[in-house]
Amino acid sequence: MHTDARQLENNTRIAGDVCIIGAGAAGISIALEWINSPLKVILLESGGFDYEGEIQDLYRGKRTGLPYYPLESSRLRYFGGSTGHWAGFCSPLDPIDFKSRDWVPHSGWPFGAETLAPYYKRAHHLLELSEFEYDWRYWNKKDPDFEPLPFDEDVIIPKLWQFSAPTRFGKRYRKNILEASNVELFTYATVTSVNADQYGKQVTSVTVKNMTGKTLRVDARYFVIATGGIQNAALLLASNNVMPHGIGNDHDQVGRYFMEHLEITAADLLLDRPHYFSAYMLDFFFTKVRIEMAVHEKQQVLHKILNATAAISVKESDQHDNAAPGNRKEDEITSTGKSNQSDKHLRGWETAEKYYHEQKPEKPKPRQSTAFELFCRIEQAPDPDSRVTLDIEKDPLGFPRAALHWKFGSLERYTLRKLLELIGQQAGLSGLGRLKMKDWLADEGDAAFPSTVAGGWHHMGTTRMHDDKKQGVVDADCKVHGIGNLYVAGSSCFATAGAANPTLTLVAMALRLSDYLKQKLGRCEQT
Amino acid sequence: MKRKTFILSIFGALGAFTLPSWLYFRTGYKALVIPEMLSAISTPQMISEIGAAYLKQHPGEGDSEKLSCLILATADGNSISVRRNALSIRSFIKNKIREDFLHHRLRVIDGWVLSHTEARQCALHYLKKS
Repeated sequence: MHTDARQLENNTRIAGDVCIIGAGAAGISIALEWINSPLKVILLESGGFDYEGEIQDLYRGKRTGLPYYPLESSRLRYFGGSTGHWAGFCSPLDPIDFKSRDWVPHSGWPFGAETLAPYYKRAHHLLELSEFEYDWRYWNKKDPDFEPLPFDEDVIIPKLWQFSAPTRFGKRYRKNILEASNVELFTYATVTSVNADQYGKQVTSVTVKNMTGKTLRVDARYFVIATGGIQNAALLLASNNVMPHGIGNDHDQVGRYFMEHLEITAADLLLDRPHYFSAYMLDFFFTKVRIEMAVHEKQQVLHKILNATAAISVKESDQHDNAAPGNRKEDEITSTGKSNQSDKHLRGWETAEKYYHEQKPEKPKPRQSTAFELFCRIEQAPDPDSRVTLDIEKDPLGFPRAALHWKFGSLERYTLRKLLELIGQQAGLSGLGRLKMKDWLADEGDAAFPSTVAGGWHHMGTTRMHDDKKQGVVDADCKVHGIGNLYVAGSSCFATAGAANPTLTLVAMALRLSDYLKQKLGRCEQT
Repeated sequence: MKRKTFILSIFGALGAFTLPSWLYFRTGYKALVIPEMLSAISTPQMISEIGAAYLKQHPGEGDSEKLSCLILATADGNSISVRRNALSIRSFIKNKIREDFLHHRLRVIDGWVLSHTEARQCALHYLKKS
C-alpha cells in the first residue's frame, strides 16, 4: 500500500505495529521481511519515488575538519535511498573486524563474524548477488583465468568482491512494497522527531512533516530508525522533547565515531613484462566477482595496523574507461556551499545503465600492461571526536541540519604505507616487479594525507553498537540503550568499519534485526 | 737496463688501463651497478636518483668499494669476488635480492619498495655516474 502523505489531512494520526523510518537499503530490507505477516508495518520515506532537488536539499549540512563531500551529494533522499547511486560493491567484513584489537581504540563488536554469516547469505539474495562464496578457488574452478597473483597468502590475501547489478532498491522492490497489504508506505513523510514518553523509556510516536506544511503523527509498538549513517544520529539528537540531549544520548555517544573508508590511489605497480591480471579488473555492469589485495589477519596483528585493501587497475595514462559512471570528482570534495552533484551522479548512473541495457555493449577485452595503479581502501579507526552534531541552521521543515566534523589520526596513514610495503615485498619476492608509492607517501615521517583523499560515501559508526551503554548507542540487537522499543538499522551501528564496503553488511544486519523483532513481537502476541 | 725498464713501464701502463676495463666489461662489475629489475621498469636517471636518496639515508655507505663489498657479502660474513664473471655475479645478486624480500630486508626509497641489496646497487650506480 502507498499513501502520499501530502494528500493527508493535517494532524492525521497513523497507527501500526512496527514503524520503519527511512526507505533505503536497510528500511526496505526490513519491510520486505514483514510482507504477509499479521502485523501492520508503517514505512516512512522523506522523499517520493524520484529524485527531487527540494527534498534532496534537506540533506544539506555543515562540514568541518578534514575535507569531505557535501552532505547532500554523498547520500540520496528518496524511495530506495542511496542505493540509487550505489556502485554495487559487496564483500563481508572479515573476522578480525569484529574483534577487539589493542592497537585500535574502541574496536570490538558485541558478536563475532559467525553471528552475521547466515544473514549475509540472505542479504546476497536481496542484493541479487551470486553464491555466497568468497574463496577465489571456488571461482577458479568456473574460470581458470580467475587466479590471484602469486603472493604468499599468509601476507597478502586475495580478498573477493562481488558486484550487485547494482540493485536499485527503489525500483527493484517498489512493486513488492506497494502490493503488500500489511505494509503501508508513506512518501513525503519526513520524521522530524522521535517522541518518548515522560520517563524517556519508551517511544510513543514520531512526528512527521512535509513541504505542504502538514504535520502527522505515527504511533507504533516498535520503531526502527533507518535513515542513514549521518541522519540516524541527527534524528536521535534532534528528538529532545523529553531528553534535552536527545534520545539514547545519556552518555554523549550519539553522533560520535563517524567513520569512512579512506579511498585513494596510492601506488604504482610496475612490471618487467606485460600482464592481464584479469581476475583483478573491474568493468562496471560486466564484472560479477573480482579480487583485491588485502592484508592477512596475522600481518594486521603483527604490524598493529587497520584493515585495508588495494584494487588494481591499468595505470591512468594507459587506461580504458572503467570508472564508475557516477564517479566523484576531486574538486567536489573541496567545494563549499550548495551543490547539485547528487543529481549529476544519479543521472550518470542512469545514463550508463540505460546504455548497457539498451545497447548491450560487449564486455571490454582485458588489456595487458606493464604499469598498474593501486587504489587503496583503508579502514578508519573509531575516533569519538569524528562526529555528527546538529547545526544551528534549520531546514525548511524546522529540522536542524546535520554538522559533520570528520577527523582521523595517524594510524590510517601508517596502515596504508604498511599495506603498500607488504604488497611491494610480495611483488619483489614473486619477481613480478616493483611497487612505487605515490610521492605524497614517500616521507615516512609525514602523517598527512593529500586533500584528494576521500571517503566512499560510507557513513558509519554514529550510533555504534556496544554492550556498555557508556560506550555505545545501541546494544547487540540494535536496540537503543535505555529505550524499550527503539531500534536503529544501518551502518551507523557498525562498531568498526573494516575495509569492505558497508552495504552487504548493513543489509545483513537489517535482516538480523528483522528476525529479532519478529521473535520479540511473536512473544508479545503469545503473552 | 733502460730498455728493460721502458718495456716494463709500457706493459705496466697497458695493464693499468686494461685490467679495470676488463674487470668492468668481462667480470660482474656491470651486474653490480645495474639493478636488473629496476633497469627494466625505470630509467638510469631514476636509478641514480634512488641511489642518491639511499646515500642520504645511509651516509656511511658513500664509498664504492664498501658498497661493492656489502652487495657481494654472503650470509656467513664473507664476500664473493667482483672478478667473477657477470653471469655468476648476476645470479648471486638475484638470489640475494630474493632473500632480502623473503626476510623483509627492505628499504623504501623515494616511495620505491626495494630490497636492501638493490637499493645499494642504485647507490653504487649513482657513485659511478657522479
